[in-house]
Formats: sequence, structure tokens, C-alpha cells
Amino acid sequence: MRTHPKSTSLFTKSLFLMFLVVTMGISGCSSRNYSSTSSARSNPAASGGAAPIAETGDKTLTVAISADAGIDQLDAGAYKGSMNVHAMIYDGLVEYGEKGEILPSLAESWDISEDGKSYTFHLRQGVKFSDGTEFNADAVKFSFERWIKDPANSLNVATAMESLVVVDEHTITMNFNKAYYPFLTELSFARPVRMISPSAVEPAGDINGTFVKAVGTGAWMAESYTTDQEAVLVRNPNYWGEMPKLSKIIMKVIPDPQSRVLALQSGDVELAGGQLGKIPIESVPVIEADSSLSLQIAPGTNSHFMIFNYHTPALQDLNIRKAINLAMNKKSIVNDLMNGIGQEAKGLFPLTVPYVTESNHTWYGYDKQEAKELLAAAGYKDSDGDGIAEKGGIPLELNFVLQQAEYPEWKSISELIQSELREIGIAVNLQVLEPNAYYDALWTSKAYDLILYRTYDDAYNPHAFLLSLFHQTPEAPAVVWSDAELEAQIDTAVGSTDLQERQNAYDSIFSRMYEEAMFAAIYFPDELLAVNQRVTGFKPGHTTYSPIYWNQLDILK
Amino acid sequence: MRPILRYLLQRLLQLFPVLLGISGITFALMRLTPGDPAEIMLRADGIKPTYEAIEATRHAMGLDGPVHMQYFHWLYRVLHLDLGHSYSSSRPVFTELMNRSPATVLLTGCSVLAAVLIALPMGIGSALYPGRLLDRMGRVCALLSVSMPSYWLSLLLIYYGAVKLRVFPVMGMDGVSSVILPALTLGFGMAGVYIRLIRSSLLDVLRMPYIKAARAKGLQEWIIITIHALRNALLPSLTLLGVNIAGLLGGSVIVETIFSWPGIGKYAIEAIFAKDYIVIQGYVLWMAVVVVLINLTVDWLHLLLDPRIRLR
Repeated sequence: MRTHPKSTSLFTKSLFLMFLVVTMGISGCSSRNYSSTSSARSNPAASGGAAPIAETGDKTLTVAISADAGIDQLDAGAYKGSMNVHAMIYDGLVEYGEKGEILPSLAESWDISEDGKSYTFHLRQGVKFSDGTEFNADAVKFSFERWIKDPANSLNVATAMESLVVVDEHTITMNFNKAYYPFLTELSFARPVRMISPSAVEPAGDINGTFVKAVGTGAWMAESYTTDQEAVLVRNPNYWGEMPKLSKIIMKVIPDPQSRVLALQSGDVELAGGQLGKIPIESVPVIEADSSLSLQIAPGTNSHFMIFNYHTPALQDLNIRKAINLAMNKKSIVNDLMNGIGQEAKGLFPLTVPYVTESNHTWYGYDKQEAKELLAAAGYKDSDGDGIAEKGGIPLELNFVLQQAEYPEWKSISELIQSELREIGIAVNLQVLEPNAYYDALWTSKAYDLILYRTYDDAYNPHAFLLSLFHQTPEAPAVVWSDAELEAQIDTAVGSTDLQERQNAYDSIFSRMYEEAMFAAIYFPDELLAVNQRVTGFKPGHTTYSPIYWNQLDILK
Repeated sequence: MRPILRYLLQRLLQLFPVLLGISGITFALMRLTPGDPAEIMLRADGIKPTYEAIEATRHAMGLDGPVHMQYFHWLYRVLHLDLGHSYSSSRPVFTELMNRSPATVLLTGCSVLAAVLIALPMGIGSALYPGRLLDRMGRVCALLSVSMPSYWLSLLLIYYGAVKLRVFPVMGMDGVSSVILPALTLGFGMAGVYIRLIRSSLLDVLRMPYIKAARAKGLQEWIIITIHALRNALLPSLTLLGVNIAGLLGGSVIVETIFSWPGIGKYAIEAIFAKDYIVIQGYVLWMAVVVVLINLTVDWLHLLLDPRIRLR
């Protein structure tokens, strides 16, 4: 193609011009933006220079969250919006402390009747909701009656409640039809048991009224909210407890884990991780190398483990279950696959869970030789030399189901387990399913031999997890392992009003699980958070819905 | 123009059977995949719900009736211009889609602009100087464009543009500068095909006798290229652009997620994982309307640009 020389140069010029315009356009908008952000950064710094002013000055913390906070729907009695924000705006009667210790919150103290069926709460006096409405026993009654009749609720405080009696302005009694020690634990949950102002619904004070605005007694209240983008919380001026040091918390929605790390690095957010929105384990070295960030590792309350299908004939043999447990190198999973974040599992629950003690905390170690011997004792032998053990001509082959969407690390863990089981002569077929198909296999179809799962978190452990996974329901047998003796022990534990009796029951539950090798313990994950060095007073919380003591956080500008 | 108008009207009327068919098929397909929306919703907290709770929720969602009746109920509401409320957020689907569409339309517009700004000069340059530096650059650019995964390109752009240089924000939709990186990611991803397409069709057109005639007339080369050659050379790209715009208006999950862009794609994918039938149905309707309308616009533009088609 030959072109006219004159027009060629013209064309080149116009090309160059176009390029110039584009670059200028880009740099034009960007430099404008940069100056605005940098001024925003320097502004508080100026006021922060003088320490006394900083106390009252604007102290804003920006936090990354993985999903929309849903402030406009944050009804205390509903399961909508972010649980974390729920727990910041609303207080419960009681609070969940370290290792499940129940601490006073809006109830200063409480009495439990001899039979464990009646609870009387003495409410804190002089507490006001964030809009100035008085908090009293009627507000408690209002908060509960809004949701307690809803059949979609499965909390025991709801299903077992017989009556809710206002004794006087600051005393309220709950009567239940059974004794169940975790009533108090349930009352510490983020929802739906927390207190909402009667003025938060329309018409005000009507238990069937429509939710209008999130009004609680908590340390924080919503200031502004943009769906899928951000939620801004400010201090509640009427807060009854110690005033937060920060004046404002901006929660930015950043769905992608890598982007959260990048936002931390760029300084766009100052705190991320844990249940607010996980930080990928592979980013740990990046955070550690960044001098502006500090990595915070908090021990978690859940555990990841492998469920055996009790309908699979081979897995009904205790020796096989023990062999699988012994064949897995749990230390290597934590150290080599999880970057050393987490602990080798020693049972179903970590030591952060109530009733788990050093003495009832034992599990199978890593012993390949013993695993092979147990397999041989069960009658499995590799007679055709293909590396897979057989019994009666049938090779020992198991389907191992998992999902990657919620727990990306499960893929590499399952591959390691696959190769280790192969070494002792068990063939494992991995099936990575999308979450809905995975949960369908877990809860309904039981279409697996082995399946990876995790325990619930914090306040649901140990009782609620044991009840829903190791106990039959009127419709179906237990999910993880069906064992009548274990179920009886669980009933004893949750129905007992005596602490020692309860501890004994849990001791026997954990030892029965161990003796019967009812599952394969794998690892206890830690919570991983990254915090900007300017943030002080960081203290991890004890529940997933209160992952941080927000009120103690402060920021140096 | 009369027959053209009739043709366009006919195409517009075809929208209705298309919508009916598509909604029916998605309705059936969604119910064939495993998972119960009531259970998924109750399990959002990670806790196994009781049987009673699931039944109550199924009833409240209207999922306890026969499937065909559920479809007719849905259809009845849609005919009354009510797309229903999301299972998981209980927000009205129509409002949710409309709230998210400005972000998606903005990103689509800017991405197309970025693609055009990259592909047009590159494509024209490659065609005018085949085998020369610009053409080789065009080849490399096209290769990178089609082979670089968008998540990688976005992370690279964020790392250098936002973390290292601090010129752009890392995330969110906030001002002009925030749209540049996501638009560049999407635009660059599309540009490769157009560079090659524009190059080859422009080369074809430039061999046409009418270009020779224009040159013989003594027209300036840039007039020949911009007015005479490009008009015909861009027709194939226009068709492809229609398809691409429709795709972009459906949302781009990866880029939206990485840049925390509040668009439609992420909304739809979350609904699919949550089996939020009502949202999925609403989204599918929206997409069907978008695709049909864009195809119509492209056809109409063809009619305007190419008189030969008009004659048929």
C-alpha cells in the first residue's frame, strides 16, 4: 500500500494528537483526583498534630468489607444486612466474652430459676437509644415480640419461650418450657435477639410495624449509606458505655480479596480481614513486607474437618476411619499450605470454644505405618499390585466432595489428602462442586464418601453445632455421624443446669468422638487481619460478628 | 423509508415471544439445578435451619406451589409491570436493576470509548502501513489484548496506577478517575479483535475500484480514508460492537468485583449463587430487552450506512 507522502505525515500527526489528547485527558482527571485525596489525607493530620484537639476532632477509620452492609434493612429482629454492623448498632441483653463467658450488657445481672426454665433480667438504668428514646423493660418486650412468633426462626429462645413478663420498668422475666443452658448464649447473638427502639418502626411501638430506621443503644449509629458502595457509622452520643475513640467508621465494600489487599497498600482502607472480608493467605508475605501495615493473627473458633458418610460400607469400619485420620499430615497442611496460619486440629473444636479443655483435647496424630496396619487389620490388602488396597476383590475407592467458592484453600488441602491416602492404599476421587451442589450433597443427597466441612463459629459452638450436625431431627438422622450414645450425651449436656455435669457430658462427647473416629480432624484456622500502623488499640473480639473491639480503636493522623 | 419502518416495528414486536421463551427457559433451568432457595437464604448465616423454618420460608416465598403455577404467578405480575422482590434482600428487583444500571452504562460507554480509542488508530495505522512498526505494534497489542486475562490486567493496573503511582483510586465509583482503570481493562480486552478486524477490512476496502476512482479524482488521502474507505470498512466492526455492548450492559462480573464497581453483573452473579429466582428472572428479561434493542439499533445503523442493504 502506497500512500501520498504529504497525507501520511498528516495522518501520523493526527494519530499523535489523538494519543496526546487521551493521555492528557487521563492525567488531567487523575491529577485532580490525586490532589483532592491528598488534601483529604493532610487535613485531619493537621488537626491531629495538636493532641488535645484530636480527642474531639474528626477521627475516621476506613474499613474494607466484602459485601453490602444493608443499613436500610438493618432491622434488629431480622436476618438482613451485615451481622458486623448489626452488632455495632444494637446491643443485646448479654454479651459473648472470651471462651463463651456470658458478660452483662443491657442486662446488668440476671437470676435463673432452680429448674432452669425461668430467667429474670435486671436491666441497666438510664440507658437511651441513639434517638433519645428511653430503654426499659417495655422496649425489651417490644424487641422480642416483633420476631419471636415467626416460624422461620429456629432459636431455642423463640421456640421454647412460653411468656415474657415485664416485672417493673427495669426487670423482665422470660419463661421457657424447657431447661437449656445456651439460652443466654443465644441472647448474645448478633440477631435477632438485640434491642431496637420502639421508635424505629412505623407506627411507633407497634410490634407489627414496618421497620424504618436502625435505632439501637449500641456505640455506633448509621450516618449514611450507599448500596453496594459504603456505609458510614458515627458515634452514638447517647451511648451508655465507654465512648469510642474514633468519631467515624467508613465501611467500603470491596468484594475482591486481592483488591482489599491493594486498598490496604494504597492507604485507601486502614483495616481489613477476618469476617469483615477475608484476606488471602497468599498475601501474607506482601502485608508483612509492607512497613505501613501490621498483620494481626487472632485464634479462630471454628475448625475444618472431613465428614465420613456412615452409609459407605468401608467407612463403617472403625479401623478405616482411624487409618484415614492417621494418614493425614495435619502439620504439613498448616505449615506448607496455609503459610503457618492456623493450628493442627486436635478434635472437633479448638481450645477457644467453651468446654474444650486441655484434657479432652486429643486426636490422632500422623503415623503412616499404623494407618497401613489398621487397613490390613480391616482386611484390605493390595493383592494386584496397583497400589490400591482391596477387600473381596473390591478396591478401596472413595469420592471426596468439596467446594472452592467459599474456601479456596480446600482445593490444595484435598489434593494433599488425596496423595496421602493414596500412599496407604486408598484411592480418592476429588469432586469440586459449586456451593449449591455441595450443600445439596452435604445436607440432602449425601452423595459423597468423604466431604470437607467446617464447624460453626463462636457462640454456636459447641452446643448448636453438635445439635445440628451430630444429632437427629424429627425428619432426618444426624448429618455427620449417627450414634445414639453420642446423641444422649448431647441431650444431657444442653439440658443440664449444673456446670460440672455439663463439663462431664462434654468430656464424654469429645472422648466418644475420638474413640469412634467419627470424622477426620484437619485444622483450626486463625483469623487474619491487616491493620495500618497508624491504627492503635487493636484488640480482636471473641465472635465473628464482633471481630474487633471497635470502641477501643484509635487512629494517629 | 416506509418498508424500513415496518421492518423495524416487526422486529420490535418479535421481542415479546423472545421474552416469553427466554423467561420460560430460565425458569425451568433454574429449578433443575440443585439447591433450595429457602434453605440457602436461611443458611446465609452459615447455620443449618430447622425443617419448620425452611417450610415457613418456602411458603413465604411462594415456592410451595406447583412450578408452572409459580411461573404463571410471576408472569402475571410482570405483565402488571412488577418484577417482584428479591428473596434475599426483599428489595424490588426493578429498582435494584435501575439503581445499578447507571454504573453499568457508564462503564460500558467508557469501555467502548477506550476500545475505540485504542483500536481505531491502531487498526487504521496497521492497514496503512502493513508490515511496518505500527502494524507490528498492532499485532502485539492484539495478541496481548486477547490473551491477557482481565483479572490479571486489572490487578496490574491497580497495582501500578493506584498503589505505586497513587494516581487512581483502588476501588469504587467516585469521580472521573475511578472509571478509567476498569474501562481501560475492558476496553483493552475488546480492542485486539477490532484492531485486526479494522485492519483487514480496511485493506480490503482500499483495494476497491471506487477508492482508485477517488484517488484519480485527486482527493486528499485522509479524505479518502476517513470518508470513503472507513465508512465501509467499519461495518463488520459495528456488528461485533453491538454484540460487545450488549455483553457489557449485562455487566462484567470480574472487573466489577475487582474494582468494587456497583454494576449489574455482580448483582446477577450473586443472585445466581443464592438461587434468587426473582432477581435472575428480572435480570434475564433486562438482558433480553438489551440484546434485542441493540441488535435492532445495529441493523438500523447498517441500513443508514449501507444503501445496498436498504435495497434488499
